[in-house]
Amino acid sequence: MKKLLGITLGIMTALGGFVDLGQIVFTSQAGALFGYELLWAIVIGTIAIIVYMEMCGRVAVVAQEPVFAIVRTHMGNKFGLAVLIASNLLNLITCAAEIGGVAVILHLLTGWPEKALMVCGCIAIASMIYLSRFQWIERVFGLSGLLMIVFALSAVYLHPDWSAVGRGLWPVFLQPDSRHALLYAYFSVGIFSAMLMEYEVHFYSTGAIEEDWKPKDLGENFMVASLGSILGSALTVGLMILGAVLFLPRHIFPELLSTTIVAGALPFATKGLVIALFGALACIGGAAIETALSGAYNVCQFYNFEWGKNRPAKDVPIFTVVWVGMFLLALIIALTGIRPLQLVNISIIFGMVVMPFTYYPILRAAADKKLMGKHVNTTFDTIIGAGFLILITAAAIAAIPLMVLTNSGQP
Amino acid sequence: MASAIWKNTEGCVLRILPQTKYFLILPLCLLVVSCSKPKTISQQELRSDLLSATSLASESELFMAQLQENRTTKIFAKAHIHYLHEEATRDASTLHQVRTNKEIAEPLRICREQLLALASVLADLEQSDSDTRMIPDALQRTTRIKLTLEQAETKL
Repeated sequence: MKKLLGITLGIMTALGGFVDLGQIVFTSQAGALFGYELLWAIVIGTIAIIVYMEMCGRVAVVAQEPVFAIVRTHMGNKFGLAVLIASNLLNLITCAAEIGGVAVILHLLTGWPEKALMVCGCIAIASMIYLSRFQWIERVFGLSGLLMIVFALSAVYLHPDWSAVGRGLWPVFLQPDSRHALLYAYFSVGIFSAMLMEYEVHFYSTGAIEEDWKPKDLGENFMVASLGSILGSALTVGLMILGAVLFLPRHIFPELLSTTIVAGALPFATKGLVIALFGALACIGGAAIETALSGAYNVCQFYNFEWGKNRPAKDVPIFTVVWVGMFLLALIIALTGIRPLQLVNISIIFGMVVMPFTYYPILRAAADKKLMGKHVNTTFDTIIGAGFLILITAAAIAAIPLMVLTNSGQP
Repeated sequence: MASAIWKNTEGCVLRILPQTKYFLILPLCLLVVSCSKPKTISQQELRSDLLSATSLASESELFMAQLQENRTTKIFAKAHIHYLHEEATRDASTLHQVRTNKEIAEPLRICREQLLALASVLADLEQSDSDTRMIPDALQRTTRIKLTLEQAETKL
């Protein structure tokens, strides 16, 4: 049973990372514009995140070094600090967007004023983090996030064209015109980026240490990373199929979270709607927690401050101040009225730019024989990891020009 | 240049380097880029606005059909219609602030007008508390708006 519950770390990491506010809307938009043609980006993103989650989990367990300690060691203090600031800025923007998303879902459930719900939701999540042990946070949000399965069921229920789904596993290089080609590239990069958001590996590697994994648990590490990611990926595929089946024929380009929720619940009426809302609440709330905690973990790990969610707050004062501060700042940003989806678009593309600087040190550390001993990368692991790093770097270079050229993916 | 006030477990003083400001500026620039809207819009941008307006009308149509069959909760319906209404109003008001050349002035006018018409349909529905008796009429008006927008887009 304990082993089974251990999977919740992978589930929460993947759901909070893959199926957060941005991904819910972004993937539906991709389906609405290109049907199934971008499914390959989800598959590649899933393999890449499994490879890197396994690597950073292994490094965390064997060397007892979470991601940001590795970043500092391999990139030096100066550059490492720049990466730390960029990553935490990204965490802050994403956290603000997720808090906005939580308020939208609560508003759709209760009808109460959105700003009040933003404050109440934020206080409720922060209190839960303060009062619960790490394992309980991941279990509650990981398991309740499974309610999002209603989106995948809806997708299957609506009878997608499975042969077209199969064809979507291969990129389509020829688009009708340059505008479509640019949009196709923008959404490919965006989907890939959203699946590899840095906070996932920060949260996962730290979670392995929080849960006191030992080298004998490394088999589980691969299982947790794979199962969580495959589940998150299946839900993401479901969202894209919904976009293709429901939105594409009606010329809908969904720009509202509530429209995507309607799609997720369409075949199952009111009950499906309520389940979809609670599932989305768990995933978006989980993403808010991942980003706020990742911010605190990053700072403490980079500077060697004491940290740990399972330790009393007075023993880890800086850790506590930073994650509470992240929530406060994110709440202030959300309260200014900036639309959450606008923030999310920025975080997805900016995240892509910072990504190589997070993933490169992980690959270096995992391939370091001195550090990893007998658990060092095999040649195959390193080749696969390097291949994905090249893809990540190429996407990072293309991200901002594509964002400008497509006006953030507007059709 | 700023320096942090804490010392870590190794007793080292922390400093934030000036180079890091670039990483702070980048997302702010992205925010500005993504929020800004040109005052004069091109044909391509107008096409994008027309597609977006058509999408909104189609989204409204899809939801009204759900509402007609009682496949949603009252609270959700009210909130979602409010979001759709807000979106239509915001898009219309954005289009009121832009200019364009004479050749595409007509489609721009149509787009503005139809967005306002859609906002009005949604406002009526919101005020009626999503009364199912109102839906056939709202659905008809929305379909007309969608068709007008589609025609304007094809003429562009």
